[in-house]
Amino acid sequence: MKKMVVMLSALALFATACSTSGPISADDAWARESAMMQSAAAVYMDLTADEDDALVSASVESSVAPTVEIHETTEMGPDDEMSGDDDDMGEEGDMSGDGGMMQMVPVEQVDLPAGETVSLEPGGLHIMLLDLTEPLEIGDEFDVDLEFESGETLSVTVEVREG
Amino acid sequence: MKLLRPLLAVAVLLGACGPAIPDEPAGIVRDPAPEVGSVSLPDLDADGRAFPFVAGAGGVLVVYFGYTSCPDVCPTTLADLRRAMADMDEAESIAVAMATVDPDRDTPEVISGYLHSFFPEGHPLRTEDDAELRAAADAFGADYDVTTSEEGDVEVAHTGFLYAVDDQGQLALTWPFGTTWEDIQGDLRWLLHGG
Ligand SMILES: [Cu+2]
Repeated sequence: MKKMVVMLSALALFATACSTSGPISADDAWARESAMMQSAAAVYMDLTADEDDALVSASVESSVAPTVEIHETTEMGPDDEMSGDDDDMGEEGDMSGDGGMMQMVPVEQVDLPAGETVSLEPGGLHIMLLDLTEPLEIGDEFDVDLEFESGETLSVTVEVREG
Repeated sequence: MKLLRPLLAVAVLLGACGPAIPDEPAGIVRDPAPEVGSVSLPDLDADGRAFPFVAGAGGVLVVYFGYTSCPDVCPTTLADLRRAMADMDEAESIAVAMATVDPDRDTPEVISGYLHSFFPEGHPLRTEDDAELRAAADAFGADYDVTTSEEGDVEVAHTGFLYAVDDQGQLALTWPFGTTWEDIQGDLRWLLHGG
């Protein structure tokens, strides 16, 4: 029994070290350096699953941030009732197509269709770190632990860049 | 080997001419150009004195309406603008101002520190008078909404545009979120070189 456990943990280690050999790979994980006084940060990466799966949760050590959420920046349509008026937008009308404002919303999960690379990228999906414990500085690295619907887990090293 | 020197000279010469100025800007030109020079917001870097939305003579003023607890859209846009300006000889003719749409959380220290870490010379604009902020945003066609959810989370929605104002106080260009830094740089050159 003991031997089995050792072998399994060796396997687990191997799987973590080489994330592309597992059923799910995470590439190019990065976060922008945080500006002074910036309390929240976004983590981006490319996710690819061999079989249909979904990212359901993400976490980081509390030394990085106490709270982590999966978010999507969406453009709100003109029907979403908001204050303000867009009457003075001139002939062009609403310039963005629907004049929508951008807002982040928490998402329950990020679907990962088999073999398709899903990008978490600026203006779209991101893993949001709230109440940053320390500023993120260029060259810093930290791990994000991802959990998937299948029960699969993945620890991804995030590189802090200028962006 | 002798060939190298004239080649180098040509390369230097080409470099001196700078990258091409686009014929047409990538950003949106609104016709007629909205007049924004008659509105102003308090500039925290000038003891709260009114900062009118007008560029210096022959220059460009880039304006952004955002907030600091915005980890995705705002820093992406500001970092792209910084990158666009980084290797421009004309950068000193370009002023940057950011108005916070979330003055409750963006105290003077917060918005100033935030903007200055992108642009040390940037003008942090902040007012607690929503009518004043709304009037400024309206002039640009910018919109924002700050609400507090039942759970007490502050939620902010805002238009993600970056604006370029000329020295007549006219809104010359509007860049939608996602405009590349290369396009912003080209457009800034286009504006500065009489586009
Ligand atoms: Cu977010």
